[in-house]
Amino acid sequence: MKFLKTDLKRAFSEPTFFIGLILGILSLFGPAVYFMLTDGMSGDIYSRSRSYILPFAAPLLAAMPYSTMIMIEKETHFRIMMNTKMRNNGYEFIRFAVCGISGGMVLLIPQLLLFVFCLAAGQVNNIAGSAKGFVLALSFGFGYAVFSYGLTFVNRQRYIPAVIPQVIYLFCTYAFPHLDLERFYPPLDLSPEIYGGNITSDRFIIPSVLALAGLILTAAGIVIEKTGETRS
Amino acid sequence: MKILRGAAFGISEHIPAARWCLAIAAVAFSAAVSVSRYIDLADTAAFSSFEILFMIMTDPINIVFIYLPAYLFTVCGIMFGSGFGGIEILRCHSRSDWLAGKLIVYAVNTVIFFAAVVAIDLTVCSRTFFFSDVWSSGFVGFRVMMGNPASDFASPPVPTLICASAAVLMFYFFCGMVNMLVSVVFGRESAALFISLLAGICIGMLNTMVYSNDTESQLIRCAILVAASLLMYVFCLAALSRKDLTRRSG
Repeated sequence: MKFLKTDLKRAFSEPTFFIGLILGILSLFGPAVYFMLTDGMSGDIYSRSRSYILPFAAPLLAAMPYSTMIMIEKETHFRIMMNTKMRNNGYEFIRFAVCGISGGMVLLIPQLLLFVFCLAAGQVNNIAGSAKGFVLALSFGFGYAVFSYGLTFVNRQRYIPAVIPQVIYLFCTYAFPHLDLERFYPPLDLSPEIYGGNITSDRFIIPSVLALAGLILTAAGIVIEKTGETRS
Repeated sequence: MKILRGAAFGISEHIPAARWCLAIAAVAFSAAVSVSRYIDLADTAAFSSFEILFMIMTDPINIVFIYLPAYLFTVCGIMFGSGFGGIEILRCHSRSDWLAGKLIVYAVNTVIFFAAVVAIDLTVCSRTFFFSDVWSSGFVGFRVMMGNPASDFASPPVPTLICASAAVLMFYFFCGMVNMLVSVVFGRESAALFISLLAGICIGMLNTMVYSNDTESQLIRCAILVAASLLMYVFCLAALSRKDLTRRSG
């Protein structure tokens, strides 16, 4: 529990976490200001701003807070030292949870700020729907962030865990409409307003699959590391 | 002989299996998506396999945004094998021989990747569309409607495809040379990948906007890319001769 609190504090004080927050805020408030200047105070600016830029950069923002730092810890063997300090394999799974939470928060916090701003300006049409959007932001950020964490076990380059989730996301965004998979169109998992749709259970499928993939990669990575340690 | 030995060592030691598997999977998936896209278009006019392959080879989304990143992902570690030179340079006895060996490794990797792209695309196309050795009027009409000049189809499909494919191959090889140069200058794989990808995207988009797809334009494009690739190699030689190989930079 003590390690969980320490790691959470560390996650929320990482420079990359703040960079992700700033980029998230810019990707939301930029379009909001643009719409206010061009369309005046008409329409649901909150929903429109959420579906403009953020859905296309969200996986990178979710993976940013922790992935590079974890790769540095791997290179410096900090992870091995923490494993010897903790009695079981709790370290990796606590890290898994913290990574997911930080990824979710980096998408949630800018949306909360925009929500408060638009609510004060009377630019939110559907408050209940907007609140459900916060759950989507958490699940989206969690899924992509823990997938990125799982990738840290299977590669040696620092940039790969941060970049690969975004690459896969953009690839699926291009491919799914041509394969009659519009139901699972990835940007809808963060902003269903793109197609004017409601939040359904389909919105949680891809983040869940990615979270499961991240869990499997983490477990496989632990087994491989333990096998390597036993042999040496 | 030392260059060939260095190249053979580089090719045999540097086969990142995981990266190649991921790249081939991405190419195959993209080929299936492209054909699925063109099946919808083929409802309006019957297209042949070569026509679909031509559309894939001249589509900037496929060539620049999907195949190019996959290609760079497979080649971006070539310069960093065995600790950036090190024992390989000792084997080759000179930096220029070592770099010449690396050039051959890049060329071989580019040809293999490109052959895989063409083979996969042609296989997927041939499973869905028939073969024809002339352009169909429906296809030419469709391309003209999309803004392409009719002169693009003055030659039969096979020579036009060969020239288009050669232009794409040289484009990838040029991006590989940029990757080589950035690797030597910065010494970091991530910088090499991102800068060469950015350069490739700019050149690819420029190609699409400035040049048409007829045989003559494709040949001019090939010649320019060959010259540019050689220039990159000369810059790389110059950078390598000044580089302090004892200092590691990430």
